Amino acid sequence: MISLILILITALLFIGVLNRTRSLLSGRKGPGFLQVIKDLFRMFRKGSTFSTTTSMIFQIAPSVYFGSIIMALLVVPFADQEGILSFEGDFIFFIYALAIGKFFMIISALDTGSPFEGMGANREALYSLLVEPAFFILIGSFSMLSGNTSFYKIYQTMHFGSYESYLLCVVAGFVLIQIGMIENSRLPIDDPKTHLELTMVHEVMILDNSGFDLGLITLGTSLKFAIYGALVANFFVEPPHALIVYIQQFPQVDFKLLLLAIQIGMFMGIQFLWAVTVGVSESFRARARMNRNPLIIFTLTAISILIFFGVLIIMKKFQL
Amino acid sequence: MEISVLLFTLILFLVPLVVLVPQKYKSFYSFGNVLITSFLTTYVIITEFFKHWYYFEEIQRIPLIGNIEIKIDPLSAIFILMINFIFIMASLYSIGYLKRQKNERSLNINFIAFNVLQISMLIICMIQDFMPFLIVWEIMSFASFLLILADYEKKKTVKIALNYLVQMHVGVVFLMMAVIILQIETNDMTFQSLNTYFQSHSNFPMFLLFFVGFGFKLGFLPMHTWVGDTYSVVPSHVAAVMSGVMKKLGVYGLIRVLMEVQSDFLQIGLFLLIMSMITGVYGIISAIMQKNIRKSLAYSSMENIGIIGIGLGMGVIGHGVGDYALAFLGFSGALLHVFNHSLFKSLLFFSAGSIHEATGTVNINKLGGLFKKMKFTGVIFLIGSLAVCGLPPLNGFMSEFLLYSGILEGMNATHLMSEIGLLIGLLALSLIGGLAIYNFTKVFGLSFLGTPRTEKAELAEEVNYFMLAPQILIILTIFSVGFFPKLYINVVGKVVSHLVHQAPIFTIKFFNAAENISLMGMVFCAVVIVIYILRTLAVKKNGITEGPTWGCGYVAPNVRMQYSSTSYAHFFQTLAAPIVVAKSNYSAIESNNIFPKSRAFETKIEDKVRKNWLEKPVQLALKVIKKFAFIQSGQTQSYLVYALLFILVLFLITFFKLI
Repeated sequence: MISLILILITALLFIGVLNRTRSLLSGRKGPGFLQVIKDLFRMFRKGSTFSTTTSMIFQIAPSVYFGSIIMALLVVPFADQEGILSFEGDFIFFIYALAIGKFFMIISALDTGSPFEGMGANREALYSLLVEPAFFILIGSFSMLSGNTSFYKIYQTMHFGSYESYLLCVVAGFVLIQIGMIENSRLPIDDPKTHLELTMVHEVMILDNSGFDLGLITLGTSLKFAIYGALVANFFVEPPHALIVYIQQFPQVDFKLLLLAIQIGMFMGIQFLWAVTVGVSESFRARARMNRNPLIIFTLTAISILIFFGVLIIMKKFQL
Repeated sequence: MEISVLLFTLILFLVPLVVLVPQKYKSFYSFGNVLITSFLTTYVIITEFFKHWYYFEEIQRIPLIGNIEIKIDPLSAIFILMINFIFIMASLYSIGYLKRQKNERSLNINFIAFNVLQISMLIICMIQDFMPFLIVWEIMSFASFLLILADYEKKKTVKIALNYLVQMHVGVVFLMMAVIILQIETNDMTFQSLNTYFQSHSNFPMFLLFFVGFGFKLGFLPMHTWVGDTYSVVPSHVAAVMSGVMKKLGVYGLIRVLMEVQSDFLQIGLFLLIMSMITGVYGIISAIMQKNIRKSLAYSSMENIGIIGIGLGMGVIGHGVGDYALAFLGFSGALLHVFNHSLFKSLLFFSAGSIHEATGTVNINKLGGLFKKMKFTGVIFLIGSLAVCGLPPLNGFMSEFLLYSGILEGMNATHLMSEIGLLIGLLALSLIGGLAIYNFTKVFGLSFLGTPRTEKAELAEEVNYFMLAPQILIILTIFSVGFFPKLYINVVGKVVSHLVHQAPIFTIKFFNAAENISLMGMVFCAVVIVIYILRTLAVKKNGITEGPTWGCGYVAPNVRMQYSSTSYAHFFQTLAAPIVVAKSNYSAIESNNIFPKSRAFETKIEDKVRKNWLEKPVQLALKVIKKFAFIQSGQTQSYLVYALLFILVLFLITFFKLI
């Protein structure tokens, strides 16, 4: 439950922080911190324009997309607490739930019959689907290390793991950040600032959506961002041992509650840090050439395979 | 009840009588035959079999071969039920589908072959002896060959059908080799003798023979070259049956062999896993490149065979390293996927047939905008696509989930080789899953959505109820697997208990996970429905305007500017270049062409494996063989000389005691 609330809050603030970082770094005044939320409210109140070419698919796709993200959200845990629904193999469900949203967004873009949107859908489909193996192998390696197949238990074991496993967490954090960037169509795969339809990926795919639907999609995308942030943050929200010892000196304080407060603080801090990192990296980075993108994505898979072998080494399995 | 005798009577007397039936009622007659056959076999399973999970019968009336054992165990039962279900649906579909077919001879052949195909497939599932097994296997191949020939007036069809027949025979040669070795070594040709053989001999080479033999039917990688072309010419109801259940008999054969394997588990498992991975990835990449819906579906079957093979490989590896959870999840995932694939692939072939019926083409580049004209077919195809991509809450996810959890389970407690094998499996499954979505968004999105690209697509109409009804029934089954998986997992668990120790424990353990998945599926549906209702209310309140699609400032958009199948796949083509050969036929405009005339542009996708491994060697062989063509002069005199020479040589050899 906590993860749900936290992710909802961070989702609303995340893009704001990101944009603020970018405008500060480029010396602009830029939009305000809460502009994203204002935009969302405006979109939810605006009327819609539908193309006459479109069919029923175009109408239901944004709802399915949003619903799929909500479903993915439900299995994401917070620190060592369960998500709302947690079961063995829930991360498989997580990926496939997100995939069903992608499926509908892609066909809704094709529904408009616009060549631009077909192009955007095609690119987004290819990128976000090629990235799936990286995610599977990453979480698969951790599930091998922890001996469990649900998100919550994987994180729980990682927090009581050794220093070597923390080292892996750092690499995994890097890969997860990159996967998050690709899944949400940010640099270096896609540049949300671009103004030419031919070079867009995600923006051009949702070109014909308007009003409430566009609001749903925008909110869904920031939720997805926050979900990936939460997946990264969960690796690191374990408070340092010294701090725990220090707290336990004060018996009058409710230990569990305080620990939770610290964890929430760390979580928000990491999410904030992530948004700033994304902002900074986007300010100083150019997008990759379109045909090099698959290479970047396959590199991520390669790094995940390295993590897999790292796990094998930690578990001392290289004895034939 | 001696069902085998009844089945033979059916073939000999009832099926050929379709010739006498007036043309209008032929399809109903054939449907009746399918129903009778299905009733006979299903009745046995329900009454006799479910009492003690076993049914046995011996017939002694076939003079040449001797006694034949007929036995139905859980593995046969699940295949028999599947065959019956898909055949009834396909037969029902053919009533509507073949309505306009006027060629009476073609119809007769089609219906006879169709019924014979079903009966032969059912018998294959019951026989326990290799010799009759191979004979019936041949009958099945031949019946399907006749079904491919439905359109025999076209030269292309005949060529494709012959190619199919030859490849099936090559497969049988390998099976025959295996059986002959078996006969020599054990003096017996029953399935039990395989067990005795495996106990005393090396297991892997024998398995390899069976793998190649069954691999031709299954379409594992180098043996897949018949797949694409064949499915693009057969009638849709036949394609559904062939891809849905006939191919799966290869899986049946493989499982029968795997049941008896005694050693070499790890090699066999890794071999299966790697072959399946290559097959699956190759299949889905080729599927993406196709612009013909049926070809795309055919290659997607190859991909699904890959998934099934990964499951089987996992199962065998699990046996090898003593990880029974892995073995259980692998085998049951594979079996459940066999069932699931037979459902959604036949569904997709049916709707591809509906598209063909309505527009006269299955070329994606000539379709578009069908969703508005054919609402039912559109929704059916969408559900089929979602299921084949393995998306929750539909049935495909259930089996893929089993496989994924098997891999993750197996990674926990085994040794290095199997772990790396499982990593390959995980990589393959996730890559295949992603690319399947890429493929089916292409097929569905470009043929059903957007603006119609040709007049034929513009004038499409919904097909008749005979064609829709079976598809709706299949969809109900698909949903039932997605939402009530317990029933199916129970049956699959019974089958796997013959393969894996302690299977019942794992079955119960897996019930929980399956229930969670179906629960999540239901929650998902509920969430989407709630969001959609809220959204619709809000949208209505805020006001709706309608207009043309935003053309990014361009004011004269044209239907042909839409993304086509070729352009959708173009970006991917650069990635797939090592695997797929794409040729384009186009003469460029030259500088001295002041007024360029209209010109054509054509792209062609070729199967690289087929080209390099089949066509090139055949061409080479032909070159050599043609050198000897002079021998065949056509004159009787020279043939007489050959005979004389032959006798002379024979005489000389014996005279000098060379032999």
